[in-house]
Parts: sequence; structure tokens; C-alpha cells
Amino acid sequence: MADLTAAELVGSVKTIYTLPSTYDRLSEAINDPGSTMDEIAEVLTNDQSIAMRVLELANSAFYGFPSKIETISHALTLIGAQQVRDLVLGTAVIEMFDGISTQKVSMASFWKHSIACGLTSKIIASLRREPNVERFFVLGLLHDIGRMVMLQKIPQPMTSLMSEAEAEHQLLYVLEKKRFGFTHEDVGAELMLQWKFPPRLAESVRAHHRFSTMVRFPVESATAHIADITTHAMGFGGSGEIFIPPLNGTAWGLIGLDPSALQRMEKELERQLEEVLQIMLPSS
Amino acid sequence: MGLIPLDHVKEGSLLETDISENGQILIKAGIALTERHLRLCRSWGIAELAIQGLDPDKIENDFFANLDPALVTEVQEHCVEVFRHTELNHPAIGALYQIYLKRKLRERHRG
Repeated sequence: MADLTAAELVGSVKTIYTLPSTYDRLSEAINDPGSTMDEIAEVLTNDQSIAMRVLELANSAFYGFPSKIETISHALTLIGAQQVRDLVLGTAVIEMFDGISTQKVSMASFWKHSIACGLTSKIIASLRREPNVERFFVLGLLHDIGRMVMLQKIPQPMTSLMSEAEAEHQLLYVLEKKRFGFTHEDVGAELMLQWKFPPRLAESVRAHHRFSTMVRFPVESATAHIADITTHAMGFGGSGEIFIPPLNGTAWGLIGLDPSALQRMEKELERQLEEVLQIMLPSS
Repeated sequence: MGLIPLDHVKEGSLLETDISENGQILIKAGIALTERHLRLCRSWGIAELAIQGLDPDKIENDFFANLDPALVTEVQEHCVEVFRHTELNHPAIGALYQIYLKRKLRERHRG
């Protein structure tokens, strides 16, 4: 086990975790400067289940638009094509892991933590007036995806590591590093790079527990770091970590939130979480 | 008047504003809430209600002040354990600790 690397672990699951063809077609259409909004909408409407979910999200508290959005083209105009693609990606990843159970962490709890972290990242980005806040949603949503891969691919060592974390009062990601030489952050980042995610997101996933001023994308990394800790502290689901991870003061300073904003974020999350869970996680 | 967390709303409380969705009124303002109303509110995912004559800050303070001290001690010990890897004197962690503590107390009180 000691000589396995995060990239090898991800390489061994290459054929299991593949994104749906709709996502590829959507990316292609968006990246092609010659394609029109109607052509992009057509890719989406060809996949009924994805089209329906995009419309449900567009009409939910996630956006809070005042009037009803009836068509995919309307949603694309209001939300933006790239943002819609990010949402499609998020739901596709959840679906990919659907029905696969792990011994120690329930899927429902894992995705609740992930979706809550996505919403928290998005709220933080909105407070900072960052453009394209959906990418922050995807960042939070996928920050622990490497943990899911590890729980499924190396369940035995992970189960014993989780028992050790509990008995020794240790942080799980610290034990992962000690045991494997890499953490779920590395596995998640490698998987995202394999999926051709922008390095901005993948590298921020890699740094969500080890923020430093040296990371390549400080704002994204610090947002994921703070959103993860906040979500843990609000007790929305879990990804196997028993303890609240330590907060990096520099990351907190960089994001520039007032501590009183956390209580308002709790209320905002309460308002959005159940609805978004029902849309993105219909089986729960 | 502010909003009262649903868990703190008692039967017979008078609703201050209409509960509506997409312009359709689901429960009208002024109604005395029954257990069935509260159940429906929960199923709709409503977390808070505006109740006539109630001050949310006072309700919250009273709720925590009236909890069983043994339960409070037990939950506090649990919180300290869960936050053991953090610096509790950091203002953000301090705020998150309070949020976690209150959520756990409400959860345990509900049973």
C-alpha cells in the first residue's frame, strides 16, 4: 500500500468514473465559438433528466429568481452556459457514485456534506462579489470526492484508519497522509484533472486542508477551506471526519469575512439545503 | 418582529404573516397554529415562522437558559472534544463553536 500514489489510485478507476456523454457534448458546444445559444440548449434538451434538473435548480432557492423559468434557453440566458455546464457536471458526478455504498460513511451523509459545502462556497463567493459563483459551488461539491474514491477502492485500510482516528482523537486526513503518503485531497485533485477540470478547481481541492500563501489559487483554496470547516461545524452531513478541521488564520484573513456573517450563512444554508438536496439527490 | 425557529413555535401561537408559495397562500396570517400546521411547515422545509407578540432573541435565550444543566454540560464536553484540533480563541472558530453548540443542544432537546 505504501508505494501506491494518488494518481495510480485514480488511474485504476478510470473506466468506472467517466462523465456522461451529454457533458462532453455540452462542453464541446460551449467551447465552440461558432455555436449559438439554441444549439447549446438543444444538447441539454436531448437529455431529459439533466434538462429537468437544470430547470428545477433554476427555479429553486439556489437562484431565487422572481419569476418562473420555463425553458432551457431561458435558463441558459439567465444563468449562463458555463454555469449550467458546471451544474450538469455536479449532478453527473453524484449520479456516477449513486448506488455505491461504503461501510463507514453513508452516501446520503456524504452528499449532504458535499452539497452544503458547495452552497457555502457559493455564498462566500457571492459575499466577496466574485464572478461566476457556480464554479465555487462545484469546488465545494467536489472537495471531498477523493475520500469517496478511497472509501470505495481501498475500503479496508480506510475503515481501520477511521477507527484509529476515533481511538487516537486524530484528524483523518493527517492519518491518510501518514499511512499512504497522500490524502483524499490529492486523490480528488487527480480525478478532477483526469476529468479535464480547470487546474484552478483541482488544485484548490488539493489544498483545502493545507492552505498556505504558496498555493496557486489562494482565493479558491481559502474558500474551500473555510466552507469545509463551516459545513462541519454546522453538522450538515459528514465525510468520515469526526473532528472540526483546524482553521488557517491567513485563509480566513484573505477571505475577509466578519465572524457574524457565519450565523447569517447558517440561516441561508437552512433555507437552500433541503431544496437543493431534493433536486440533486432525488433518491434521498 | 423577527422570525422564530420552527422548533420553538408552540401550538396555539398566532401566525403573524401569511405562508405562501408562488403567490398562493398556504396558511393565512392570524391563524392559531395547530400541531398539523407545524407538521406541514416542517414537510415544506420551513425553518422559521413570524409569530405575533414574540421576540426571537428572548425566545432563544429563554430556551437555552431553561435546558437541563446536565444535558448542557454533556453537550459542551462533546463540543470541546469535536473542536479539539481548532483554536477556540480565533473569532471565527468561536462563532462556529457557538453555532455547533446551539445546533447540538436543539438536536438533543428534540431527542
